[in-house]
Amino acid sequence: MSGAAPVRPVPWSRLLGAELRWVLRRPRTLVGLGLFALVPVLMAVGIALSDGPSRSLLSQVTGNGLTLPVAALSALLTLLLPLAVAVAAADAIAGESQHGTLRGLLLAPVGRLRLVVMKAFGVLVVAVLAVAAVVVSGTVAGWVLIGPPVVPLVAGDGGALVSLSGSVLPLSDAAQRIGLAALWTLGQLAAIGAVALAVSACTEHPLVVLSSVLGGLILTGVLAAIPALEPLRPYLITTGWDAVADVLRDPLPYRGLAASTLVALGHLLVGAVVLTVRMRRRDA
Amino acid sequence: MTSDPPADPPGRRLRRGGIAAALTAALAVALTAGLVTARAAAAPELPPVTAEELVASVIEAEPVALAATVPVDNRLGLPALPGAGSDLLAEGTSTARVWSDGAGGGRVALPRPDSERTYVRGGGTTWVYDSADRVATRIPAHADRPERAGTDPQAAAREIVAALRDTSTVAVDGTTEIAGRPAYTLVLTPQPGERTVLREVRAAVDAQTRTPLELTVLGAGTDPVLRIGVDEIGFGPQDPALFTFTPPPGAQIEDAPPPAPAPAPREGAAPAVVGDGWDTVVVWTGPLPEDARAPRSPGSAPRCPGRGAPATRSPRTRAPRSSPTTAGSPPGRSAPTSSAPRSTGERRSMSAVPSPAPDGPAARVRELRKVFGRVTAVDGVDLDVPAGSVFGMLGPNGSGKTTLIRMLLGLTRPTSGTVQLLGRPVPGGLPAALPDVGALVEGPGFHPFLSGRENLRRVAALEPRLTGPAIRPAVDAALERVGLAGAAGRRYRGYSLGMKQRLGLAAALVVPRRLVVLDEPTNGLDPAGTREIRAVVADLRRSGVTVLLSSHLLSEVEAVCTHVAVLKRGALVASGELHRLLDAVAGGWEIGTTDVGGALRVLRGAGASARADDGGVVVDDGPPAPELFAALVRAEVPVHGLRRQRPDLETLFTRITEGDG
Repeated sequence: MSGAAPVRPVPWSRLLGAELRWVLRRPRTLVGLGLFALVPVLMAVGIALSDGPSRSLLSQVTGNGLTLPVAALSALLTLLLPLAVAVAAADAIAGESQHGTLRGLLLAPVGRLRLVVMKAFGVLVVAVLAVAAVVVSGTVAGWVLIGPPVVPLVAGDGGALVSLSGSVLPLSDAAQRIGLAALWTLGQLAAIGAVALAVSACTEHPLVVLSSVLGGLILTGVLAAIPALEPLRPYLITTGWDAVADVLRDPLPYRGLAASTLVALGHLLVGAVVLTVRMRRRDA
Repeated sequence: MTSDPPADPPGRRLRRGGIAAALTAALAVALTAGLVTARAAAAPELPPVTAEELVASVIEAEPVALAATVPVDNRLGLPALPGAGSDLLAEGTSTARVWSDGAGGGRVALPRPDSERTYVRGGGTTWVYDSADRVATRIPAHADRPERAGTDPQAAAREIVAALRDTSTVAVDGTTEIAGRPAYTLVLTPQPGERTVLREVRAAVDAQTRTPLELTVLGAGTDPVLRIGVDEIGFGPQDPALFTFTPPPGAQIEDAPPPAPAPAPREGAAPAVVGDGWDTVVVWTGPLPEDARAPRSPGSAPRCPGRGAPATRSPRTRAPRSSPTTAGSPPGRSAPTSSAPRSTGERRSMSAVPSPAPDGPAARVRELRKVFGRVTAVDGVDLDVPAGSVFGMLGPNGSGKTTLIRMLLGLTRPTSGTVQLLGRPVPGGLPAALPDVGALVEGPGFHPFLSGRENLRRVAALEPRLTGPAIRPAVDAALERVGLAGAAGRRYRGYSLGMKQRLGLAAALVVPRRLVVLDEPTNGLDPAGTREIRAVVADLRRSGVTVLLSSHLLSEVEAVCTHVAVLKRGALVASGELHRLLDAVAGGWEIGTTDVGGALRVLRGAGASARADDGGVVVDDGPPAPELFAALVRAEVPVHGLRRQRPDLETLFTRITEGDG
């Protein structure tokens, strides 16, 4: 009888593949990614239109299409990107619990620690795809609709991006800067995702996860505005979020990016610990 | 309530060392005479006494005359007076009034829903009178055990303590006060290794007369299964008129012959369900079969004749009535003898349920408890699910079935206790055990945005027993098996309740299992779907798969299960092979006869509780059936047919789960 044979756990590739499939088959994931791709396009259209029918001189001088992905990331990070990650995290555990499918996963059995990895992977995939959608869409839209800077007087041909500091960067540098912004954003989202997953592991109502994450973000804003709580400010995750603009400076100041990444790492660790501890004991 | 089926081997009615028998009788007398429970007050100062001295003094104490008011709290819904018949189930809470003259005479007034039943003993004769039907039955003293004739509380206590002394650890647990009388608390705990489901017996012993004033019996749970106490008690001579019975004017007087002598004990008997009192299910002194860990059967099983319990009429019936069949055999004397052996054969074949697999039970829990805040969902449950069985878990809503299953599968952590699944400890052994367990717990759980097939693919992809290429065929086969192949491409969102349930079943069966756990599997299914589930379960059983099934549909459980366990408020109140439990509440014998009056006279004369029924007589309780039939034949009562009333699970379930509030 088959029962006598020793059991080998399902290979990781199949486990993560199943999760990937599930994440990507979910309509809300696809709709969300579409929206993230759309936002930079809308921004580009807005800038292009405001520049007038025949692209004013000003826009030709300052038209700086490759800043668009960075600007879009910065704008979306304030609320929409965390929201997308929170939705993914809410569905990952609380949602599965609500549908009764978490039981199925545990009974399969997917070990509880493996389940944590599998779910974190799913949330990370959503974060990567969302950031990628923004960056790709922003780059293409910026390049096509706004175009490269027309600054022959300053730097001659070949300049791709005018930094905030006024210097002109070549395309390769510009691409590195955009990649850096994307990676940094991903780090911040991973932190949000870890915390959201931890909340998700403590409830079976996805809405609780969403309201916790959004409420948490708003709360950090409130806390940051209270002068008496000044010492707290460096540890709030939203405090360092304006550092993404640093990638547009020349030379690149790393301090802000590094500090905010450290804060994110702290959130990530706390979230991961709570998530793991909670999932090991959770009823399904 | 039932007469003894002829198929019962003698051993099933007996027990080793006669301890349980002694207990049965002792407790009958104890209740009749007024053993006791009451809330203890402040502990009074009493001279110290050793447990051995206390035990000895209880056993040797002189009988005392007394009058008492005796509250009885019987949580199991079992007969408080063993052998007294189905109409005497003092389940729940009741209060009897008791008098004893200390010399074998006694009187008990037992309230019933719409009448009062009076037992009077004196001068070797017992009268039973029921104010509802105004029938007085006169029973002579017991032939071979005259000492049983009295309703003497000291004798009862002596028998209990004497019966338990050899197998128990005795201790004195301080002093207490019962109904204003100082008393010692005597505790009898079964010694390690004793095969009993009894956990502890506590008795409060009157310091002066050494009369037990209170008896508390603890089983597996935290609440006592039986508590008999006194609200008030007075010692001293009683009015002799209390112990003689004068039939009221207009009463119908019937005579019952002395009960037949008890058959000799058989060595090595291993009874599964014996006796008809709660002793058979609370105190288990014989070897305990694996499949009857907590054989707390409700109702009464075939009773041992000759315990001195009065035969009574039975105006109430618990078993469903069906008209007696005339068995096609020639009417007359040959009918009883030809019917009995056939019935034996049927019973034997029913017993031939699959033998437990050599590798132990499919699931085993010990002393399992789960507490949610202030609610105890599961309370000290011991349970074995034998390998190869179809195990039905029954209980009212909120009785802890699902919580128990969830703990079994590692979905919820027990507060205390141990769980083994397929021989492996939970939760440590879950990764090894769960691949061979299929489960449908708390309804099907799937994603609404995926189709049935995609949902099942996701489940199958996570099954360790499936290799990559085997996933697709396994999914198709499972869908086919539950009849969902046609709807597999539709989104789960649009499935009907029945289709969802089938998909849940498909997920449980997507790989061959050793254990399949189905929690309310027929929820939302139409009759055809229910039949299909039954077919699936039967199929699983044929291929040696153990099935654990919880349901509130008794007919469903009865149709497919070989074993059942009944939970009530988190405690296991009965478990074992289905047919044995059913035997315990088996209906009586239906005797088709043209001479109803003659048959009733003979049967009641033989100590059975019999009543006229459509076209014949129904015997609810009494001596073994062969004796009754022989008596009928001797009296030349024409018997056209004999039929055992079919017991059903609903009767069993109702008996166990209703009652005390």
